[in-house]
Amino acid sequence: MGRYAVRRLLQFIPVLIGTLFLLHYLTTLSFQFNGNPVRALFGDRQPPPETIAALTRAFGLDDPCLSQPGNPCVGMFVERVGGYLRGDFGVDFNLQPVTDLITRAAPVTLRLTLLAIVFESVVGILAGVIAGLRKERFADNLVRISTVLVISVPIFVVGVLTQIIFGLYIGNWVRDRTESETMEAIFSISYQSDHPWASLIIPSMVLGATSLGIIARMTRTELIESLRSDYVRTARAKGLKPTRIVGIHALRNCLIPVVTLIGIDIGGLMAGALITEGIFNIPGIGGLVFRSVRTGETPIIMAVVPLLVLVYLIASLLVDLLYAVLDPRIRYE
Amino acid sequence: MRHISLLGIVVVALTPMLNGGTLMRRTKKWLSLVPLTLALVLAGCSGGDGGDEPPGGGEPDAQAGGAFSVSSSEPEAFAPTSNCYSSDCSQIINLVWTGLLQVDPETSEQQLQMAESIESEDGQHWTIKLKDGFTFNNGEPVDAASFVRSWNYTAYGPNATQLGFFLANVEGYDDLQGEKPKAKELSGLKAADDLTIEIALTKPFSQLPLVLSYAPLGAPMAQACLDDLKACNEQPIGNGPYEFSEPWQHNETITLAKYADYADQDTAGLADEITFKIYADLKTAYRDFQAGSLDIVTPDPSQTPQARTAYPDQILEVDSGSYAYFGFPLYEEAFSDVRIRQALSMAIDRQAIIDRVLDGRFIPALDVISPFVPGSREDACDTCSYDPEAAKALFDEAGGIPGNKINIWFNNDGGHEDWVQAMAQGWKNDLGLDYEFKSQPFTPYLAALDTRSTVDGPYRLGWLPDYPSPQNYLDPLYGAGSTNYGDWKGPEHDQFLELVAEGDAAATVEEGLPAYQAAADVVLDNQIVIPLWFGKTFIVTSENVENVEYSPTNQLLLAEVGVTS
Repeated sequence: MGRYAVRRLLQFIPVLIGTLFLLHYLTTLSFQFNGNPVRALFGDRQPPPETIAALTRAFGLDDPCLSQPGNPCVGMFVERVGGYLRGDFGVDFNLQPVTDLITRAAPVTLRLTLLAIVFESVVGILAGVIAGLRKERFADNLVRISTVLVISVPIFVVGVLTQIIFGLYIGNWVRDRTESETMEAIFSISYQSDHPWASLIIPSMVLGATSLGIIARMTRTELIESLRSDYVRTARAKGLKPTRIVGIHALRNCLIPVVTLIGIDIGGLMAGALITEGIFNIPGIGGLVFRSVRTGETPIIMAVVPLLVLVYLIASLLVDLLYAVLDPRIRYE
Repeated sequence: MRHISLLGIVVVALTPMLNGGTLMRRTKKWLSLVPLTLALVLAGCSGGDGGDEPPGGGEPDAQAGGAFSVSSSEPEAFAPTSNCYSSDCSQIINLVWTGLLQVDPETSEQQLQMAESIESEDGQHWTIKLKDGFTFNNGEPVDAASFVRSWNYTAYGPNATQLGFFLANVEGYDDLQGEKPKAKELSGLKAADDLTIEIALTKPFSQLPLVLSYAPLGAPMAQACLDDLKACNEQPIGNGPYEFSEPWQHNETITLAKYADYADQDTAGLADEITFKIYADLKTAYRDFQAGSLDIVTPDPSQTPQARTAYPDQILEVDSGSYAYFGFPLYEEAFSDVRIRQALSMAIDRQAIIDRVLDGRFIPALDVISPFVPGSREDACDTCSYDPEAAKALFDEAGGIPGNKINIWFNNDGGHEDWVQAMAQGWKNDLGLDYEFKSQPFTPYLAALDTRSTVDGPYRLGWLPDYPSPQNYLDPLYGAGSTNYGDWKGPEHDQFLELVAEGDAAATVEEGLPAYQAAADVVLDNQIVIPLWFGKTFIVTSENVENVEYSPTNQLLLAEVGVTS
């Protein structure tokens, strides 16, 4: 298992370098074909050429290869990666170091992702188990209908509706009746930096809603199938308690695909929290990526996207290692 | 919000247009996440709470003390102040720093602040006397050297400040440009003594005081701030009525408290504390306002109809200074006949488009100078009113356009599609003219305009003023070395340049006005552009605050806001 993990970790290196180069090439092409994003800073005002030149120099975008369409600018790439190795990730258009931007945004997104993962796994698996055990009865139908709803309604609709219903209507009702700041933060419209966890509870439910639906349905189907299997029948015949049959024998087996889903979701939630972050005004990674893509702030894109790739890689490695724990038949050397 | 925004420095072209008009610089809202239609539906069902009663009777005196909160987007920069070229930072800079003077948005009168007097004999050599007794937050005196320091930093090319070019007409500016400049200080800028600044310009410029009224340019700089700009950006050292009570909480909040040692009681702030809550999406800010946790908010344009109904007595709707227009590629044969240009202008029903597509947030433009600046007129343009018959007659008389089809150019990331569509459809109906849209994102759009040959049809642009002078609506748009994307030249252009120069050379701001008006007439008579509309800014205030005023260049004047409860 140790050697397997090390081999996987070594594989990260070419993936990361490849990602960096691809991003570098794409942003370079965008500059070469779309023009210098510095000009757009001034909107409809045409600043003198020396102002554009000075700003372009300050942002490190004055390399002559940027005016040669198609040129991959390998020199710039080597320089950039060299800077990354020294811990220098460049500055954004406000001359703020990109590392500062990330260290401010990442903890918020991590908290949001963590809450969402906990919410979707606990509630999703629980709902799936209840539905699976009471197949085609009321609880099952309820779970099936509500999961179809959360899966099919786009997240920005769920988000805005949740914000208006919980933040505004229920929120105003709560604010009239409680002095508790935590309660007020839970039902606030937007993220409150004084309540970094409480004010993320409702946004994390919105963020985790879609995955929750998928997890619940997957757990339900898997559970129904394993309850019909030979080893469950054997366990029953041995006279084991029903909770042990479901909890240890059936559920553990059907969690393998569910764990894969949750693992992949960690990366997806971190990058895909953009809409939720926007609605609830959460200053996280998603907003940072969106902004940098819009404005062409290459240093941010080049730093954040590989970071997300790394999160994906680590999450999928953890998932693969978890397989061995869940299914004794799986061995890594 | 002068450069209205959401997130980040650059002015991007997303929503601003919807809001202010057309100006992308300073307009940076990019997270329009919820599609407009949905937002409208939702806005329709969210009732306002507690906003239905008119504010308390009578005219209560503005009380000192109290605290209030304001919505904002993430500001760009505070130190050096000249790195700020957008609304969110300039609004805060205007509180934390006090410059030489400001201009009253209603009367256009100059109100001296740090300056005791600003004088010039010839419009070229200026002497500014400062008031004594003002200090920066760290105790340093506000003296002539602090202004000279600030402007030298701003103008020095390698510092790459965004406002540096505003000082381009100060003597010695050229020596500070390039990668390795010849000099480090402007030769035309001197601190004659502790309280006297002398400025020598390369040519007369009567509007200099108005330029300096723009807070991010006019602010002085403490030596301690220059020594550690990074720290000063996070916790600014200013000389204004308010100071940062804690370092900048990026993307979250900025909290200002009254600066206790501020020397001038007349311009000191009223409220004890002002909190700016930073939003990436203005829709969220408005909902926070509905929930009672914000006092002053600029709603997203999609929310303005709902806000009008829910808070009819708590709305501040005033000139934003923004100006939207379509330019002509004068280098194209098809647009060289002035009658064609006039016909296109007269075939636009501006009021109808504003009412039906733009939620009534604009007023039709009958001048190229916004109503809020002195010198603007209500009837300067004869060919800017809707007159389909006359337009058609002129169009036919001039022989129409070859191929009877034009390309309409605009950027597609600023929310312009709907009204451009309405305008183009008007041309089709009234002139029988076919059209095709050439739209692209803002950066390549500007690159195409810069070529002065690629763009082969009318192109959309907008303008937000930097300082409240008619000159600012003329020279930067059509002057030499300016936007002038249509490549206007020839005898009329020379005449225009002469008239602007005449206004610049006048002894005072007021004496320059007639020449600027004549210059505006040259633009309008030749229909160099199609003036469309001027923007209004739309602000909703809670019942906690009173006396909220807005200046198109320095935004909300928050030092004068009183807290009632």
